[in-house]
Amino acid sequence: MTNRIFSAIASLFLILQFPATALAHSLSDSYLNFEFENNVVTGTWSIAIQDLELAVGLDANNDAQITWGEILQKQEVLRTHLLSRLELRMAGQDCSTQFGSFMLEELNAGVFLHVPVNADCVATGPLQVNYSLLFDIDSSHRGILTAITGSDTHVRLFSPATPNHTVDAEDISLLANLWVFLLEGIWHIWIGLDHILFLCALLVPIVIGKSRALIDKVTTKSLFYEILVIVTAFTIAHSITLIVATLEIIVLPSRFVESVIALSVAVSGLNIIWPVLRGHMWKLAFGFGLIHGFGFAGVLSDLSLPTNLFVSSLLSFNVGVEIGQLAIVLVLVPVLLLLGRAEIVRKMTLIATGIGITGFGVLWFLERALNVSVFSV
Amino acid sequence: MQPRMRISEIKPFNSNSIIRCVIVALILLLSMSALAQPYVPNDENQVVITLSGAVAELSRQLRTAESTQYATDPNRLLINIVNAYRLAASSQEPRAYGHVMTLLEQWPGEIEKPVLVRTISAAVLQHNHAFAEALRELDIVLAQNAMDLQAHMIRAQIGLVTGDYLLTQQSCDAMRGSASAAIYLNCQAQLDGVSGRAEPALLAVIALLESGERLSTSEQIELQITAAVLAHRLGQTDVAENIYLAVLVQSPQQFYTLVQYSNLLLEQNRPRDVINLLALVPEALRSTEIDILLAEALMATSDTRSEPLLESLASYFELAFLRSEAVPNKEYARYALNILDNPVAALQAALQNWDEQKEPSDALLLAKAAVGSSEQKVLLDLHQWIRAKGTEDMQLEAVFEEQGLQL
Repeated sequence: MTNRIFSAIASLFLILQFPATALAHSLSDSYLNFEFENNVVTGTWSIAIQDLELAVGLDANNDAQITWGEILQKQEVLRTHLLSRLELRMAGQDCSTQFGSFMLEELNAGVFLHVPVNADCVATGPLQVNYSLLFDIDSSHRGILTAITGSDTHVRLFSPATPNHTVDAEDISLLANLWVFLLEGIWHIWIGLDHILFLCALLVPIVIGKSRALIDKVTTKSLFYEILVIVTAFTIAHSITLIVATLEIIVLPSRFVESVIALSVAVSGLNIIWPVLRGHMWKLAFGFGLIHGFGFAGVLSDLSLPTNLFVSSLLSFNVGVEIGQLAIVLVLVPVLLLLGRAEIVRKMTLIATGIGITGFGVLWFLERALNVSVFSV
Repeated sequence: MQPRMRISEIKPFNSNSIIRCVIVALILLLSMSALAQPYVPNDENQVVITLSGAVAELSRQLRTAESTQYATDPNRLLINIVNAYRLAASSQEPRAYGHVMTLLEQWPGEIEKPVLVRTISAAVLQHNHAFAEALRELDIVLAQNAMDLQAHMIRAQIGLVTGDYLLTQQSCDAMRGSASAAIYLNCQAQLDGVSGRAEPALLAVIALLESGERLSTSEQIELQITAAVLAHRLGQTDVAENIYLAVLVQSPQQFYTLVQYSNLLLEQNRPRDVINLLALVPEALRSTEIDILLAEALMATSDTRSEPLLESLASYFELAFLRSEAVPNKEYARYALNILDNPVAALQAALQNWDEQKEPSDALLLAKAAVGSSEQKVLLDLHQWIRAKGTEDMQLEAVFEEQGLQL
């Protein structure tokens, strides 16, 4: 953040001193550390003394030195002010908030007023916190809440744009958690070019692998059935190994997994050019699907599954993968059907996809098996 | 019982950043409890803190304005904005900048913002690295007065920081007729210094300084800093050191000069000189950047005074990441690279910083982090960018040359 500002800006704004160029001082933050159980909230609120000076004016004799006596003199003003800037509600009903005896604490960012907080609430439920300390005088001020309920820790940041937060022990975080892992599943298959190419290599022979005359004889129903069998085989296989690997029942080295995934792409690509596995495609999908599941598990382990929502997160991720996969099928099949309409285009598509997918698979295999940098995905 | 982590609590983040937040919060809780237990002073006369001049002045401004209704008194609001900005710019106190932002937000919607309000708004946005928003404000100002000097100065600065040298050139050109010779030359020299004309730029600045032309103190210091930085980048370290020292004699706490001179001393393997230089900086004027430089120097001399400083820096970055906004990527990149010896983390931060800022010091940091983490592609991309712009910097050149790349 070391940027220079032309001095003339300073002089035009009648500034007598050159602007320094970095954040030379600590930012204005206060820390709320709460624990809540049933209808009782306990904890502390730590507020920088200089922030309280700005909020209520502690320095009675204007000597730029704040004494403990000056803080005590303003004790009631401070209590009233702080109460007006922190509202706690549980299950939509106000809590009766009280502050204990003020103390001081020395943190890295300076000297803070340490305020014990105790709140009795009428009902039990999600804890709503409305925080507005200093927002009317300093837009850059932030409140950082760490709330512990049971065995869970929640962190919330209060700013002028987000002065309200709700901390819920179960429901909200469960849904949000499911949503996050669902999106992660979808996202992973969309950005995983190796998985996409494998899926593509499975579908190409089914949709346009037959000659034009034979394609015409294939009914939509039978084509749908064939796709369903292949996709289901792939899904069942990778779901099994995803669960088995995530539960650490079977653990395979990631280099081995990634190399075999690359091999699966190469083999299925070759099968487009020389369809030796025609009629056994579901076996190919299932067999290699097992190894792709280990690959998905590797990604999931990087995401650190929450221990208390382990199973739901795992299933959510898997559902995400299936949704992402289905979306790819829904886009790919109509495109292939279109390409299969003219015989010459169909043949060219077969050759191009076969060579392309095989090429990618071989290069990935070399890269992953031999640990050399060809390119990375 | 060990607290378990919960994913996806804060909407705008991905799950990893939320986990990181929770971990940091727990570390923070532990470190807060470890730092000091709450206490009650024995003596009511005990001085708890001495306010910095900026906070004392800000408090005074706030007490004076306590009952002012800005909606019905925009003139008073304008005066208070100017006063608050003067305080913020002179002290760099974040609370003062925060107060300026609060005042700017209170400008009545039905009254057109005066040029001065928009210019201050742009300056604050620039300070907060919201460059696009700052430029939008400046566009409005320049639409009203194409030659607005203040607007062009901020605009030129944004161009230099973001690597948009065309923008800077336009604003330097606009200053040619309306600003003093010193201001115009300073603008042009800073631009020339990063776009392939550093040597003539240095000569031009030195010529003006030695010409005997009447310069205000601020103009002289600014030109000296520009000359020192240009000489430093060109590898004329003796010239650079002499000018840095001359500036520090006139303005001992000139922050930018302290940082640049410390860098020069560290490059010359003179950590003891850095310690002597920075140890004199009062606590209230210390910044993260200065603390990192001091920590590097103390570590290089195996000085035990580095320990509390390192703890303080670790705590600072924990808090900064917990806050998750205005993350000091540049400082963290340097800290991770030189203190934590973690080039991978340094590269990540340096890349994020590079998205925002493209000054030679940002490029040097990115280059070192890329080399440290063997990210050849990043280095090659950076090398291409530097070549295209024509930036001259001996330190950067040395890093590239070690990797077989010529500038």
